Amino acid sequence: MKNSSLKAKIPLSLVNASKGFDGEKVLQDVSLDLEPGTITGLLGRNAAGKTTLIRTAVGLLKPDSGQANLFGYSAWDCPASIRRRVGYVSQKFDDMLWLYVKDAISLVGSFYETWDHQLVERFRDEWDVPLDKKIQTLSQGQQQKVGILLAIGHRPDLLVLDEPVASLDPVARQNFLRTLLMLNDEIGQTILFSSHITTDIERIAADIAILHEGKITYHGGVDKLKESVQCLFLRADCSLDNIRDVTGVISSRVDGNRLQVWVRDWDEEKSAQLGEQIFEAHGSSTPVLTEAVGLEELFMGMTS
Amino acid sequence: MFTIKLNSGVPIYRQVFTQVVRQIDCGKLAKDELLPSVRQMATELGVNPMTISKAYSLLESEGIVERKRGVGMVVIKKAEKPVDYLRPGIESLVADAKQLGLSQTQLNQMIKKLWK
Repeated sequence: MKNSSLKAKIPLSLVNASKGFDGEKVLQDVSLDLEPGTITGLLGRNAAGKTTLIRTAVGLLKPDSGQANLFGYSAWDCPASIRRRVGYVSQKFDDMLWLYVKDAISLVGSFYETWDHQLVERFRDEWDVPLDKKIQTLSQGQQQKVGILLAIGHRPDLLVLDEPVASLDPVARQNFLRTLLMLNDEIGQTILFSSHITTDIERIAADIAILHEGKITYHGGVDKLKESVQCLFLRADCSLDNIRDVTGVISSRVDGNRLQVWVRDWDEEKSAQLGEQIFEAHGSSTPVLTEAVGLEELFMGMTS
Repeated sequence: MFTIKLNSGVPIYRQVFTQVVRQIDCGKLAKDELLPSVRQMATELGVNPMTISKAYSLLESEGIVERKRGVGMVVIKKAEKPVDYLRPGIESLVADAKQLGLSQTQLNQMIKKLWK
C-alpha cells in the first residue's frame, strides 16, 4: 500500500522500457523517474530517441517491454483523471489547423473544469499570438506557441515538451524558458523537455537526462555532472591502453598532438594511478592536465 | 548587477557565489545589506530558483551571509582589505625566494625593478 502511494507521487516513470520500429530498437531498457516539482532537460543528439522516449512516457506509444507510468498508472491505458494531469507539446503542432486560434482555445478549454483562462490569455498576449487567425496561416513558431498555450491551460501537474523551442526565435525562446520557470515556481509543475541546446537546459533545468543511442547514460543534477567530470589532456602517443584501467572513463578522442579523455569522478588517486601507468609504458612522466568543461563539450564527449 | 556565463566549466551556482563575494570585496555590497530574494535573482538571471538557493546556502555555510527570518539574506562579511587579498601571494613568493636562496635585499630589488 505504502509502496503504491509512493509510486503515485512520481509523475513520470520509465522502468526498463524498450521500444522499436520495424525490428530496429530505438529505446533500450530505459529507466527514468522524475522527482515531483523538478525541471528535467532531456538532452540527446538527433536520432538518439528523444521523441520516442517522450511519446512512450506520455502514453502515445506502447513500450514493447518494460513499463511507462504516469502518477503510478500505466501511461498507455491510464484513466482520464490521470491523463488530465498531463500536458504534452509535440515537436510540431499540427492539430486543428483549420480552426481560428480563439476557437481552438475555447474548444480545448471546454474539456477541462480547471482551465485557466487568465494564464492562457496572459501568455497569448505576451507572445503576440493573434486570436482571429486560422492556425494554418500562422508561422511554425506561432503554431508552436498555440500548441504550448493549449497544453498549459489546464494547469497540468506534469508538462512534457518535445523540443519546444526548436522553432522559436531567440527572444521568444528566452520568454518561453522564463514561462517554464514561472509555471514550475507558481504551480510546482514537474517539467520534462527535450532539447539539443545545452545552454537552455543549463539555464532552467536542475536535472538532466542524457540519452545516447537509445540509452540513458546520465540522469542527475546538472551541477553534479559538471563538477564530477573532468577532461584530461595527455600526449597523443599515450595509448588508450593506459587509461583502460582507470574507472569512470566516458570517452576519449585524439585532438592534434594530444589525447583528450573525459573521466567521471576524477580525483587525486586516479590522477596518481594514471601518472604511474603512463610512466611504466613510456618511461617518462607527463603531467596529467585536467580542465573543467562546459555542458556542451561534456555532452559532445559523452555522446561521441 | 549579476551576470552568468552559460557553457562554462563553472556551475551557475558557483558563479553566483563568486560574484556575491566579489561584490562585497569591491564595496558594491556592504555589510548588513540585503541580497535580492531567491526569486528576484532567479527571474533576473532567468535561471532555475533552485540554482540560486544552492548559491545562497553555500554563501551562508561559508559565513558570508546570514539568513534572517522574514527578511532575507543579509551580508555579514566585511570587504577584505587589499592587503588581505595579496597576502597569500606574497607569502608563497617569500617562501619560494627563501627556497631558491635569495636574500631579502635581492627580492626587494626585483620588486623595485618590476614596479616601474
